[in-house]
Amino acid sequence: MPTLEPAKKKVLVVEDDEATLKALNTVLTGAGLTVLEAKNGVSGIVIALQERPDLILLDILMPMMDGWEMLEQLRQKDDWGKCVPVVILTNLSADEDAQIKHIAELGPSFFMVKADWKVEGVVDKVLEILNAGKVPCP
Amino acid sequence: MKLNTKIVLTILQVSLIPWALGGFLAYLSSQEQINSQTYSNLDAIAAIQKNRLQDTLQNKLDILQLFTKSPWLTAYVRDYNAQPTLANKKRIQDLIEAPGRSLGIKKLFVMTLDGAVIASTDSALLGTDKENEDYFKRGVLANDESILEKDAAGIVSQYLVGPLISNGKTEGVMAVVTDANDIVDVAHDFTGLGKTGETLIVQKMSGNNALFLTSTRYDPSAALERVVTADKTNVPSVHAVAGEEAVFNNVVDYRGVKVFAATRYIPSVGWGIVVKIDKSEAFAPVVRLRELFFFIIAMVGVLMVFIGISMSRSITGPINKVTEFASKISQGATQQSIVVTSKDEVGILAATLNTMIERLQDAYATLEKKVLERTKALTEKTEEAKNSEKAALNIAADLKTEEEKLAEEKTRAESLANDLKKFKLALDDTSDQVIISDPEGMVVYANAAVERITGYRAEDALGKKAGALWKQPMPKEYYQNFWHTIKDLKTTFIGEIQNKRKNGEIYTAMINVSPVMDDAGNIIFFVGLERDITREKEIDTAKSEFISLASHQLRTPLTVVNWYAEMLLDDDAGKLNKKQKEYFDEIYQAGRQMNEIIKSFLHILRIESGTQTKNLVSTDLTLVAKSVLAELHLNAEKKDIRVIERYQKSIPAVTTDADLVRVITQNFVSNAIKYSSKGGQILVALETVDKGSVVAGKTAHADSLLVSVQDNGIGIPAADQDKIFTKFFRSENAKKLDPNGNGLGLYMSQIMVDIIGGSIWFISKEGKGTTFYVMLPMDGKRLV
Repeated sequence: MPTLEPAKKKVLVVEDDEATLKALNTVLTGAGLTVLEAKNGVSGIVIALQERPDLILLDILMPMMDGWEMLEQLRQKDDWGKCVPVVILTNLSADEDAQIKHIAELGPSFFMVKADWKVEGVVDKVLEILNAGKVPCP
Repeated sequence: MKLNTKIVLTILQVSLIPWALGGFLAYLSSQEQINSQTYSNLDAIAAIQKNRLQDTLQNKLDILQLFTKSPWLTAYVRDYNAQPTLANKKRIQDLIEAPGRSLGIKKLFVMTLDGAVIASTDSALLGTDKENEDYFKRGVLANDESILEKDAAGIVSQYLVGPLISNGKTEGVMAVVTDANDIVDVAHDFTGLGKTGETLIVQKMSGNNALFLTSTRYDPSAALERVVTADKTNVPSVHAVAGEEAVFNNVVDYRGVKVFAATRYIPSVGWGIVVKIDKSEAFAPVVRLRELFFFIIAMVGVLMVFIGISMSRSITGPINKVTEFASKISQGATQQSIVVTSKDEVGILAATLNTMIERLQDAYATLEKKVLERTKALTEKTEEAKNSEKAALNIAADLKTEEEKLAEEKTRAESLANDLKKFKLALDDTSDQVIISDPEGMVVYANAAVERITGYRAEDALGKKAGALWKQPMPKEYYQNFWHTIKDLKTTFIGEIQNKRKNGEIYTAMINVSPVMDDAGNIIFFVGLERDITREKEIDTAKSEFISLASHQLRTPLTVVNWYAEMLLDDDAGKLNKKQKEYFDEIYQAGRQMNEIIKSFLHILRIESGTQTKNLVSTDLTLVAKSVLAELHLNAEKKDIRVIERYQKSIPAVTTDADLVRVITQNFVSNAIKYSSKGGQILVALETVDKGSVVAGKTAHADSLLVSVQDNGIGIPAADQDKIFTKFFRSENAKKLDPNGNGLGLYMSQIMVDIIGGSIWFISKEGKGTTFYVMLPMDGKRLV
C-alpha cells in the first residue's frame, strides 16, 4: 500500500506501440512524473477526461481512433480540453500536407518526430512545457 | 390364464422385492448423512464468511494507514500544532483533498488532540468539536475499524479512526468515513444457505449482549437496532459474541425458529458471526428422498410390465407369422417374402420358405428379360431410318447459309473501300475523347468516348459550341490563354483541365488541341484530344499516402531500438561495464545512421513521386549558406578544416524554393568536409552571373546566381565522373575514406535542381580536390 504524498504532475501517453509506450513510461516516471497510458484514441479520450492530466503525449497513427481525431474531440469537449498542452509524438513527418493542416487547426504545443529525438530529449521537452506554467490556449 | 399374463406376473415379483428392501435401507442412512452434511456445510460457510470479513477489515485498515502512516500528513499536523497558522492548516487540507475522493471514501477529517476538526473534505465539519464522540476517544488510543454509525437517513457508515503520530508523539486523530457496503455484502450473501439460511454479524456489547450490525433476511431494520441479550443462551448470537466457535443443533434464532447454526468470532473488533439455516429446510432433502424412492418403485413396476409383454410376444409372434405366410403361398402369391429375425427353429423354417420363393421368382425373370431384348432391337432399327432423313435436311440448310455469307462479304468489302468511313470507325473506338470543330468552335464530329466520359451523346454535341458543353469550371484566364494559343499563335495547346460531366461531376483531363490549316494557312478545323486522368490523379494521392505510412512503419521499430539503446547507455537498467557500453553505443550509432538513411529515402520518394512540390519564396542565399555552415561547423572543426566564405556584396534575393536550395548546399558542404583530409580547406562562394557569360565551362542562359563549394580533398577519379549523380553510386576512394555514405546526396541534389530549375555540375581532379556548382536563374523560372 503506498502512502499519501504531495501530488505529482500527471502525463498521459497515448501510444499504440507497446515497446515505445514502455520506454516513455520508464523515463517519464524516472523524471518524477505520474504516467497514465492509453493505447488508442478512444481510451485516450476517456482517460484524459477522467484524469485531467497536466500534459498529453500523443501519437498520430493508432487503431480505432487516430491522434488527430482524438485531439479534435478533446479540443471541442470543454475548457480544460481546449487548453491542455499536447505534444504530438509520431513518426510521420511534420512537412506532409495533412499534418501541417492539423497542426494549424488543433494547436499542439510541439510536434516531435520520434526517430529524430533521443528519449531524454522527449523528457526534457515535457518538463520544459510543464514548468513553463500556464500555456496560452491554442 | 393366458401364457402372456403368466410371464408378466412372474417377472414383476422377482424384480420388485429386492428394490423395496434396498430402498428402505438407503433412506435410513441418508437421513443420518444429511444431518452431518448440514453441520459441516454450515461450519465451512462460517469459516469462509469469517475470512471475508477479516479481508474486508484489512482493506479498511490499509486505507486508514495510508493516512496515519504518511510522513507528510503527520509532519504537517505536528507543524500546525507548533504554529497554528492558516498556511499550515491549508497544507493539510490540500494533502487530503484528492485522496478523499477516491477508494470509496465518503469523507475524511483530521482532529487535534482536543477534538477540534482542522481539515476535512466535508466543509460542514470544519471547526466542530468531536471531543465527546466515541470514535474520537478510541482513535486517540489506537487504529480502530470496528465502529459503525447510522446517520439520520438510516445509512450505515464505517468510521476508521487512528492516531497521527510524529516522532513517537501523538499529534492528532485521523478519521476516515467509508460506506459499510462491503460488510453488508458479506451478511447478504446467501450462497449455500438455501431459502431460509443467512449470515448474521453481531457486535459484542457490555454484558456480552449482541448488537446486530447489518439488516437481516427477516428484519430489514435490524442494523444497529436489534439486540439479543446475554441471558438467552439458546440463541447462537450470544455464543458467538462470547468467543465460541462451534456448531449448534438444538437452538433457535432471533425469531425463535429452530435452526442449525455455526459460530465464529473476530477478537480484533469484537464481532461475532452466526451462519444458520432453518431445520425445516435442512431436512427437506430427506423428505424429497422418500418421495423419490416411491416414484422409482412405481416406475420399475411399469417398466417390468412392458418387458414381460414384449418377451412373451417374441415367443408367440414368429409362430403366428409363419402360419399366415404358408397359407398365402398356397394361394399362389409369389412376390412375397417373410421376415422372421429370431435364430430359433421358427427362424430356420421361415428362411427355407424364403429360398423356395426366390427360385420361383428367378424363373419368371429370365423369361421377361428375353422378351425385352427383342423389343429393343426392333426400336433401334426404326431410329436409324429417322436419323438419315434429318442429315439430308441439314446439308440443304448449310448450303443456304454459305450463300448468305457470300452476300455479306460483298457488302463489307464495299463499305471498307470507303476510306473516310474507316478512319471514322477508328476514331469512334478510341478510348480518348476526340472532337473536331470548325474555326468558330462549333462541333462537327465527336467520337463514342465523348459519351462514355462526359455523358453527352455525340448527337447532342454536334452543332454546339464545345465550351458550352463542359460548363467551363476553370478560371477565365485559362480559356483566354487556350484560344490565344490555338487561334492566334496557331500552335497546339497542351494542358491539364477540369471539366464537368453531364451529371455535374468534375473530372480532370489532359487536353491536346491543334489547329488544322489549309495551304494558305487559314484554320479549317480544330482537332481536340482529351484524356480522362482522374484515375491517375487518385493513384498519385494513394502513392503519397503510402509513402507517409511506410515512413511510419520503418521508423517505429527503429525508434524502439534507439531509445532502448539510449536508456541502457544512460544506466537506466543498471550500470553497464565498459565493454557493454561500447557495444550498445555501436547499436545506438548504427540506429541513428539508419534513421538518416530512411530520411534520405523518404526525401527521394517524395521528390520522385512528385509530392515534393516547389515552394517558391524570395530567398537570401547568403543567409542560407551561413545557416548551413553554422550547422556543420562542428564537423569541420573535428577535422581541423578551415572554412572560407566569399560572398559577393549585395547579392539580390532570388525567387526559389529555400528548403531545397538549403539541402543542396548542405550536401555540397558536408561532402566537402567528408572527403577532405585533416587540416584541409573549403571555400564557399556566392556570386551573380550575367546572361551569356561562361563560368566553369557552363554558359548562363539567364541572369543567374552561382553557389560553389570548393575543397582540396581526395577528388573524383576521372573514370567515375560521369556516374557521380547516379543513385547509390560511390567512387572507390570515397568508400575507402568513409564506408558509411549512402550514395544518395548528389542524386537528390540533382533532382532538386531539376525541380527548382537551374543547373548543377562540378570540376574535379583526383588527389587535388573538387568544386561543386549550382546555378539558379534570378527570376525563378526554369532555364529549359
